Amino acid sequence: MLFDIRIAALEDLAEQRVRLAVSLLLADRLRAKVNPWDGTRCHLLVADADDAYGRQALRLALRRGTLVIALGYRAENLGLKPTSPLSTAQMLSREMRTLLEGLALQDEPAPQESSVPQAKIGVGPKVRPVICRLASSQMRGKPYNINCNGRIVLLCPDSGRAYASSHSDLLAVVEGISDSTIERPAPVSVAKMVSCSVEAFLLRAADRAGDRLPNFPQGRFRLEVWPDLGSVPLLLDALKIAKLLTQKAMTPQELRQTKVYDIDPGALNACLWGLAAANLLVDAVPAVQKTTIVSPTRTTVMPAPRKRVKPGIWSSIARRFGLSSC
Amino acid sequence: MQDAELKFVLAGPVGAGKTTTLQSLSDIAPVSTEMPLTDGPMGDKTTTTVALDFAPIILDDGTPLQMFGLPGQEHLAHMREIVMVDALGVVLLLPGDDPNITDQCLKWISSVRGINAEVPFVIGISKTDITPGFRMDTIRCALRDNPVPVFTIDARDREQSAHLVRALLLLID
Repeated sequence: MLFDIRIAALEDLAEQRVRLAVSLLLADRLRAKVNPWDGTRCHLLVADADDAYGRQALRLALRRGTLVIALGYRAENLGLKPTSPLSTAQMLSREMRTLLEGLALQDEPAPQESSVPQAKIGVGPKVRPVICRLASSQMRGKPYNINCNGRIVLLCPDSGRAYASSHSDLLAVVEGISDSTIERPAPVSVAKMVSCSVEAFLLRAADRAGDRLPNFPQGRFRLEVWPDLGSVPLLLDALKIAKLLTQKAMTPQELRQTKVYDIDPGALNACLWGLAAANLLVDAVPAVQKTTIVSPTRTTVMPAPRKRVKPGIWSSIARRFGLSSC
Repeated sequence: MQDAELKFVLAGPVGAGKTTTLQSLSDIAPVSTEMPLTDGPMGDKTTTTVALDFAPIILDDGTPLQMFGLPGQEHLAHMREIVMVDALGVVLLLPGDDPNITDQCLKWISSVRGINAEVPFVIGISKTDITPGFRMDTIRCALRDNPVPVFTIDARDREQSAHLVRALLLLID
C-alpha cells in the first residue's frame, strides 16, 4: 500500500526532516510519497500548527477524519497533541509509523509486526537482535563481519572504525541490521575500503532497530570516553546521554527521569544498546576515583566567574545550533 | 560593566578544515584571508589562511556570536593569544590524514591550555573517510587525561560541524 502524505506550511528544515522520516518508513515496509497539500484527500497530513495556513489545513483534515501530525505548540488550540517542530526525523518517523500501521492493518490483515514481539520478549538467542548480540560480554569489543544479503561491514571496535567496500554497503547494513547475520571476519586489507566511525554505525543501527530492541538491562553505567557522534548529528539524544554518562554513572531509569534534558525513552534504549555494542558502556564501579580525576573540561562548568554573559544567551545559542533542551 | 562579547574559536593545524567548517556553520560568507599556497596545491587544498577567518552568527535575539578561525601556521602563533581572549569555547580541528595526528593533537591542546587553562574545548577530526589507516584508539589513548569529545566529521557538512558546537555547548552547560 502506498501512503499519500501531504505537507502544509512547513519551513525548509522541517520539510527536510519530514521527507527523511518518510524515507525511514521503508525499513518497516511502509511505502509513502510526500506532496504538498492541495486540499484533496490523503492518508496523513503534516502541517505547521503555528501557521495560519497550516491550521486551516489541519482543521479541514480533522473534519475529514484524516490522520494528522501537527507541528508547533498551537496544536493544542485545535485539540491536537502538539509535536515539537524540532523533532528529529526518527521521532517523526516513529509517529508516522504508529499512525499509518493502523491504516495498513485495516487494508492488509497480514501483520507487519511479526518480527517485533519475539525480539521484545527476547526469546532465546536465535531471535536476539544483532545489536543485542554484539553488546553481549562474549562478543563485545571484538571484530566481526555484519552480513546483510551479501553486503558486508567489518566492525573493528579496537580501532573505532567500521569498514565496507562502499558507502552504500555501510548504509544498507545499517538499514537492514535486523535481517543481518554476524560472522567471524577473515583477514582482510582495509586499504581500499571506505570507513566510518564504528560507534556512529552501531548507534545508527540501534536507532533503526528501534522497537525491536528489548529493554536495556538494569544496572548503573557510565562512559569513560565520549562516543564519536560526529557523523550522526540527527541523534541529538545520544549527545545528551553521552554528556550525562561521562559526568557520572546512572541507571536507565535515572536517565529516563532526568529533567534537565528531554530524552525520548525509545531513543535512550537504542542508544544504550548501541553504546554497549560499541564497547563503550562501562559497568559503574562503586569507587568513583576515576570520575573525580581533575580535568579542566570537567571543572569548567560555568564561565560566569570569568566573564559575564547576558542572561538567556546560552538558550539562544543552544536554539541556534538545534540544541533546544540545553 | 559591559557584557562580554560571545566568541568561539576554531583552532588547529594547516589543512584541518577550520575555514571549511566556518563556512559551513555561518549563515553569510565569512570574512576570509585565504591566499594561494606559495608551494603549490596540497591535494585539494589550494589556499591557506594568512591571518584569520571571521564570521558572525546572528542569534534569534539579534546578538552576534563571533566565530574566529585561527591560522594554523606556526609563524602566526602570536595571534592565538590575542584571538582567544574571552573565548567561550574552542573547537580544535585536526586532519585525519596526518600521520602525526596524535602529536599535533597534544601540541595544540598544550597551546590552547597555555593561553587559557579553563576554556572548554572539543576536537573534530576531518578527512577520516579518506584515511583507511585512521584509528580512534590512538587519539583516545593520548587524551586519557583530557576526556573531551572527539568527533570525526566532514567539515563541509553543516550539521556535523554544528554537532561539534553542540557538544561544546553541553560541556559549557
